[in-house]
Formats: sequence, C-alpha cells, structure tokens
Amino acid sequence: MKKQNMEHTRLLVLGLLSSGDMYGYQMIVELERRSDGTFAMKEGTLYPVLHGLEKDGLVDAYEQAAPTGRMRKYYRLTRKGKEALKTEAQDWRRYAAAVDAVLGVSFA
Amino acid sequence: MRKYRSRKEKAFRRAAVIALLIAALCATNAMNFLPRQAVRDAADSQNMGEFTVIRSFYDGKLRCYRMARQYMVESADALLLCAVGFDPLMGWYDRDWCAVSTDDGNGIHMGYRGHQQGEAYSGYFFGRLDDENIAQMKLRWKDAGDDNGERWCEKTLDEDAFFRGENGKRYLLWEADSFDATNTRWFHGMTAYAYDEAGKLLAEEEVRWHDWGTKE
Amino acid sequence: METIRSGSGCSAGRELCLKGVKCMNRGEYTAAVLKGLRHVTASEKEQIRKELDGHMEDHALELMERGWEREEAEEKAAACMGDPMEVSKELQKCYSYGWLIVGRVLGVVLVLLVLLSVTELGSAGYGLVMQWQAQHNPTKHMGEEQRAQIRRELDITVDCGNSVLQFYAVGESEEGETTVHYLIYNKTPFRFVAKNIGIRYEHPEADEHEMDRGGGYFSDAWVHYGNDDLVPPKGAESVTAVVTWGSRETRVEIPVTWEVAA
Repeated sequence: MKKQNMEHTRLLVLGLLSSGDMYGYQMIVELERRSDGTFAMKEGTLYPVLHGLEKDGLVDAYEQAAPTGRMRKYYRLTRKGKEALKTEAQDWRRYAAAVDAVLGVSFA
Repeated sequence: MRKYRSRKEKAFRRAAVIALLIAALCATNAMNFLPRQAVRDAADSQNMGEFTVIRSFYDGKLRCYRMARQYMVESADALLLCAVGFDPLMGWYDRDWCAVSTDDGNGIHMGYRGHQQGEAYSGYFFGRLDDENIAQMKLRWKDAGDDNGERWCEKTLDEDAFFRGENGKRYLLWEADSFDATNTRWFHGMTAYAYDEAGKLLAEEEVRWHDWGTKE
Repeated sequence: METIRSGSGCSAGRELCLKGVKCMNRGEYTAAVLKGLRHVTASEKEQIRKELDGHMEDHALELMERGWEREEAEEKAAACMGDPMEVSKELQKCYSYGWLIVGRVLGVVLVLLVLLSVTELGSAGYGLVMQWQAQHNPTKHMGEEQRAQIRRELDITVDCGNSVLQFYAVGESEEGETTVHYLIYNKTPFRFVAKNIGIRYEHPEADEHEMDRGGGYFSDAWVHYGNDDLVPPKGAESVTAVVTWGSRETRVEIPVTWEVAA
C-alpha cells in the first residue's frame, strides 16, 4: 500500500509541474488548494519523491533567489517527464473509468 | 540561476569529457591507446604507408619485452618486424624495428632484428618468399673465426620457420634461439640463398640486419 | 487523508506528540534526517538540509502570519514534515552507491587525463607551430651567427613518401666550406619525420671523400633541421644531391654559387 502511495504522489507532482516551475513548499500548498483539501500529504515525504523524479530524469532542478534573499530550489518538467505524465494520466483515466463502470456510477 | 545535476548526469558529463580528451590525444598523435597505433608510428618512420598485420605475438624474453608486443606487418613495398611497448604515462610506443624492402623484384626478402639487454638476447629472422618453387633456404656468413682467421658458416632453415599468410603469400618468421646469435654479430653481412626441390639456386639476397640494445 | 492545513495547521503535530515523539525544531529535524543517510557527499547533504530547512521556514512564516509564536510555529512546521526516519529512508533510495562510485572513478580518471593532456596536447601544439614554421620561415630557428653565414636562399623541395625534404639555404662556413641547409617534416600534421631518408652529394669532378655525407638521425622529431658542409670542386655551379628513402632515389641540383656583394 505504501508503494502505491508513492507512485500516486509522483503522478500528482508531475501534474502540478505541468502548469509551471515550482519549489517544494509551493507544491504542498498548490496540491491542497487544487484538490480542495483532499490531498494533504506529509510534507517531508514530498522531497524523496522530488529527488527520485530528478534521478530518473523526469524533472530538472535549478536555484533561484526568493524574496527573502534565500536561494530556493525550483523544479521543472523535462521532455521525458512531460511524456511520462501524459502516459500515466491516460492510464489513470482508463483505470478510473473502469472503476466507475463496475460501480455503475455516472458523472453528473 | 544555478542548475542542479543528478549523479547520473555528472557521471555522463565526465565520461563525455574523457571521450573528448582521448579523441583529441589520438588525433594529435600525442598518445597511443592501442598497440596498433604504435605500429603505425614504426611503419611511418620507415615510410611504409598503409600496412596489414601478418602476425602479432608476445615474446617475454627480455625485460624490456615483458610489457611489449611483437608485430610483423606488410605494406605495398616493405616488410616490418617491430616491438611496441606500453608505458602507463606514454601509452604504446615503438621500441625497435627492422624494415625490408620488397619491391626489388627478388624472389626472397629477408631481414633480421636482434635486441640485447644485459645478458639476454632476442633475435628473429623474418621475410617473404615470392617464388613458389622455393623448397629450402640456407644462410651463409663469414664468422670472425678463431686463430685460423675468418671462416664461412652455413645454416639451413627449418620447415617450421615458414608459414602461409591469409593472403596466400609465404612468409618466414624464425626465432634465432638455437642459433648462436651473439657470434653472428661480429661479421660483415649474411646472405640468404633459396633453392628449389632439385637443389637449384633460385634467388639470393643479403639479409637486412638491425641490431638494438637497451640498458638494463 | 488528513484534514486541511490551511485552517489550523495539520494534525500531524498532535499525532506525533501523542505518540511521544519529542517536539523538534528545524535544526534538530534536518539533523535527524541527515543522520540516516549513508554514502551521500557533504555537498549533497547540505543541499538536502537547505531544502528541508527552507520548507520549514516558509511554513513557519505562514503560521506566524496567522498569529503563532515563533518557537511554536517552528515546532509545528517540523512536526508537519512527518517522521524524519521515514523521510530519511525514502530519500536514501534516491542516492544509491552505484552512481556515486562511477562518478568518483570517472572523476579520478578525468583529473589524470587532464593533467596528461595539458602536456601532451601542448607539445602537439608546439609541433604544429614547428611544422608551420618550417614551411614558411625556415631560417627562424637559426642562431645569429649561422644566419649571417647564409649567402643564398633556396626553395628546392623533394617528395619523400610521407615526408618532405626542403633545401632552403646555402651558406659559407668559417673554414670556407659550402654549407647546404635542409629541413625535413612530415606531410601529415602531428606526425613525426620518417627516419630512413638519406642524402649524399655528387659531382662528376668531385673527390668522393669530401662530398659524401649521409642523412642519419634517430630521435622523434616533428621537423628535422640539418646541414652538410661540402667542398665543391673549383668552378662548380651546382652539385647533385641524391636523396634516398627506402629503396627509392631522387636527384636534384643544388646551386653552390651566389652573388658576392661588391
């Protein structure tokens, strides 16, 4: 169950980054906002996900100065990441549609 | 704005720079990473042009030969026997050589390369036989001799000194081991004679001689 | 899933405090995460520390805007990060030993190769300059004395297989001999001169002993400069230079007279 959680989070992070470069804390806030509070993950576990995506070449990272003067590490999607997002999103939609079909629920 | 690089990216960048430097070192002939490049240096020094390798082998008799490889190569107009050694700082380099011209129309071409280091000695006769009728080869030279003065010596080469190369030509490569090589260096010229099966003399040629020495 | 944070902060803090986990501040939290990491370089650890610390700082600032006290805000921010051991364990998976070793080995090889290249490529560059100089400014390498002895410049080139032999000047030595100056270089840049090129000089009326000279040099060179001192027969306008390489031979005429300044 734990592993599924991670992969789930990976997809969410990739989805977030598709709308622009973000840094860690910003992603937590955005995730909460967009999912209307459904997703509020333990913040520390975001970073292993990000570093893992970086290692796999799905995201890139660069440093930029924050208004406070501190340097922030921003993440952005690579071309490989964009393609992975597209494929995984398609798989997710197919999966969700199948679940709906079995449950017999239709979208309003 | 500084970019972060993952470990894999760093490793790949380093590998790319290494590949680039190796390419540059090869292109400028600054360092030979392969023994064949050193053989080319030896062939170039003898103005040989393009060559093919006839035989390549290892001979560890001399100390300086322990980290070296022996090559016998052939170009359009010459034969070469050379040793190329390896040095961790310099790469492969040409240690010694002996070149024999093969464009003189003669039926046989022969050379001898000797190398001495301290008490150890290594010598090879090498050559090519262009006449198919040749069945036997003899070497003749004048020895320094004893008190009676100089004398003529003769030696017949064994069958196993000859072999046929991939291109069909007949070559000779013979280690002068049992041959008293040290004595032969005090003479003036050695001639090789080629005979057919009936014993008729087909060709003769002076053996091209090249002796080397390395300090111990 | 857990409740929204935007209101009163995540419930994680209460959860961990109930478990009995000590309430940590920013520094203690990052130290706890870093402690669990093996074979991670110092700079990588600093990078992780800065990132986690920055996150907690941002969170604490947001809480302080809502009226929290600094110390409590920081503790809350640290607690919301979750169990440091779990974060450490997951983070470790991204920093495997394999690539670190590969990177380090390549780094060492790279440094050695760079040191080697600096000398070798530098020397190759020097060779290129030498070859260019031989073709365009052959007298440059000469000392003042030698150059003063030059009486006539030549441009006689002989093709010797992979190398080029050029007679570039004749001069007069102190003893009154005629000095023929020549140079040899390889046609291909960065390659050394062939070693089997020989030169001898002939003239029908010459005493062989005084005219015969060989080539003969042995060390690796990009350009070989040589000169031969001859005593040409009286009244000779030129001598024949016989250039041999391998079994080939070329003959060229070398003028040995020059205009004498009035």
